[in-house]
Amino acid sequence: MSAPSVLGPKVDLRDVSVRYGRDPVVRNITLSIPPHFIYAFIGPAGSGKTSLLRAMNLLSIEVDGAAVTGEIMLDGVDILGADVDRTVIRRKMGMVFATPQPLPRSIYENLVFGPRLAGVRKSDELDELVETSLQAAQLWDEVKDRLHSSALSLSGGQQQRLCIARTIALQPEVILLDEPCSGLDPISTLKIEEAMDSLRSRFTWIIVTNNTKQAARVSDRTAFLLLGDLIEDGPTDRVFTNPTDPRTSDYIEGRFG
Amino acid sequence: MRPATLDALVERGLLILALSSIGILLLITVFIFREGGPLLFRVGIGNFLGTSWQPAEGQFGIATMVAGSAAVTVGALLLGVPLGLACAIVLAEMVSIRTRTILKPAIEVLAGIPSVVYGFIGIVVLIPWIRQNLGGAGASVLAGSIILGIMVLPTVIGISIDALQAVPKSYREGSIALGATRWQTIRRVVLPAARSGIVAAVILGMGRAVGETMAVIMVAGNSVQIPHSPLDSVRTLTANIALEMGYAAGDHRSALFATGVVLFVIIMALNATANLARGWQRRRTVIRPPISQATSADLGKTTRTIRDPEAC
Amino acid sequence: MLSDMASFRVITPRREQAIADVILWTVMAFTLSMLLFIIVFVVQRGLPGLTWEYLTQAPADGGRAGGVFPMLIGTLIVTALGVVIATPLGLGTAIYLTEYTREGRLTRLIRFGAECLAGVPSIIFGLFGFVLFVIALGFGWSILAGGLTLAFMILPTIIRTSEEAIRSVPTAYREVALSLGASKWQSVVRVVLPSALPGILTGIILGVGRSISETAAVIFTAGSSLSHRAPTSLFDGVRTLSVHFYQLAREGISDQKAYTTATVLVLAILIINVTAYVIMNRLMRRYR
Repeated sequence: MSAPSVLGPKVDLRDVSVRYGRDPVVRNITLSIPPHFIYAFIGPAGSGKTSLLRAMNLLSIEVDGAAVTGEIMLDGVDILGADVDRTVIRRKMGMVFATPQPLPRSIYENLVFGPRLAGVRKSDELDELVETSLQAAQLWDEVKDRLHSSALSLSGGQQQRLCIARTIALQPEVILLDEPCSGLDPISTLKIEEAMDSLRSRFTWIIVTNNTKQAARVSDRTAFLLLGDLIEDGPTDRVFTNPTDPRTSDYIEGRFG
Repeated sequence: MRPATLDALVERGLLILALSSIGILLLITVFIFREGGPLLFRVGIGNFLGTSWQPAEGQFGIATMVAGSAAVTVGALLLGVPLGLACAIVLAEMVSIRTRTILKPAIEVLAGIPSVVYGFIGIVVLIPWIRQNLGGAGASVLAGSIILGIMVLPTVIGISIDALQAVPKSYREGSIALGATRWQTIRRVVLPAARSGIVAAVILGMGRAVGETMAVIMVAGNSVQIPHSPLDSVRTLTANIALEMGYAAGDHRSALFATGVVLFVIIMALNATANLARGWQRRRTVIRPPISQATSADLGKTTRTIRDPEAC
Repeated sequence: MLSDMASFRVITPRREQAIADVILWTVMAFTLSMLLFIIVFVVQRGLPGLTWEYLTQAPADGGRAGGVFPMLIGTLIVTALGVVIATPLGLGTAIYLTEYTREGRLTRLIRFGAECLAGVPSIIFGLFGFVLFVIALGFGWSILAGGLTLAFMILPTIIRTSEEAIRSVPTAYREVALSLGASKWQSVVRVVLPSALPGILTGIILGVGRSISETAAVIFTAGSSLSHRAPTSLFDGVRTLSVHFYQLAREGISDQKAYTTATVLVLAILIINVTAYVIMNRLMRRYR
């Protein structure tokens, strides 16, 4: 891949459509995501937000069987291209899922799973990765004494922070989050949002959320999707206080959803 | 890109394994039908189902063996189903989870005991007892039924327990909440709901009984005759194949294969029916999520059964 | 009131419950004791003969004396051959069907075929093995014929249980593995298979148990010749333990030896199943 461009967008979507079978769930989306921004996708259920997100790390194609057209550029290189190595892409674009999904092993094992696949073998390197990732996800203090206990023994909020730490351990460039706080208590949600804010300079964050207030709290730019179409996107402040499209203001103010 | 090429190689290797397995499965099926089929057509299905089994004279009627298999199978079910169902009810509805987790696998282990051991016990315990107390030679339909009945118990018990446990808890809770006793709940609510699964258990038990060879050879007598009493000696389809295969040649051997085809088809039909029955139970069990949505339909069902004049 | 109505009957629901309980518990106790009796009966009479000499010596005098060493070895080799052939085939097929193909008519057909063949009586496999391996391919009564027949016999079971086990691994685990940078094969080996391992092992152990207990299929493929030394080649005929037991039982040669052989068989099955259970529990705790 070419050297990352400091001035250009981190992720650039050009005329991207996603379809399962005949009807597209995402239609001709074009937008740019600047580096080190927190970018939120909002919209009611069925608007294609998750499909779009999963297309960005190619899960849509491999697991869901979707057909994706258009270009998804990561640092100027189309990840939908023919001879792209999916595993490399996924290490650059880590994903956190809606329900916490720890692997059925110890906390330590969960964290080193990705790095080991990437070739990191030495135990002191792995140990350090584990510690820094857990600290970044604001989980270190709570689990540092029981790294080898099962990840399934953690609470829901802790598990989700573990999943974020696991993604951070990959040392990605972009972190994709699919409704990461749905079903979590407010304190866990707050901790996750704090983590995102404090790590802004290290990663680019793309978050799909059903919670418009969360998007308003946390993101720098917001895109509003409705039934597969991009209605509007722009700086969060503007989209929330002064939206250009009436449907945007209707959704944000809860007139439908 | 090493992971990618490794992936492609692995996928191809697994495809080869899968095709080989499928090939083997097809080979077995085709082989048996090919060896036995022609004879069926040559001799004619009517003759093949006739009563005269005289291989030396080219007579291949398996009716006596079919009668033998039927007799011991029916007998086995008469013993195995009531006992098995009762045990299943106790284990599924009336014991603690802890007891069940010990006893259920223990009973399933018994299914793994070699059939020849069961047959042996028939020889040293059952046959002398029958000879002394009921007459006859001892080796008989009765002996075969008892031993086979014991052998199908683990199957019937295991699958019946599964069927009973598959009945949603809400059914039981609804019934108890309306004042039914535990036995009334079992009889009126749980058993009917689990009916298809229990039928599947019985059918699979039947399949096991029909397919059993060694144990029946050891205790059922092996005479080629249609039984007229439980003390008569009989030969099952499976026993016939096993006893004559060693020295059969030509048409005789083909006839044994043809018997194999018949067995194959019977077992296949039994298995397919059992699967259908299990599917029915799964589909008929609709679980309504929140308790508040347990509609009057649920309550109506148990209310109707309680109001049943027979119940109170 | 319903309770008033109830008292008009002779058999109240409460008495009905009591009667039902008594009947059910009695039947259960009877059944359990009957099943237990079988094991105790055999083991009690056979255990005295289960000596070290019995396990390590060759048979003598047609089986009336001596031990069962050649039979033990024969059983082990034939069973091992069957499992070694059937497991890669079956497991590979199961992995391919669940991980590399989409659910469709083909996969359903294969699954149906495997389920059907898993229920086919062993005598039919004996027929099949006899005509194909012993006669047509010219192996004669041999370990090879027996092992191949056993392999074919347990293949459907392994395919079915492995496929169920792999299918029951949550899709989420696969997605997590992929999104952490694993290739498809890596996700299968590092995440799916370890989680499916208890189920897969169960299928294999079931296959081993079935092979050891198997008599009908083995008599007609590996033969029943009584030999005084352990087999040395794959083409040697061999008498497995269960076949030996059958001969002892049927010909009434020696009751004592029969009981002891039966004891070995029963204990082997019990030990195998208990081990399987223990392994499964331990694995389940680690990987689920």
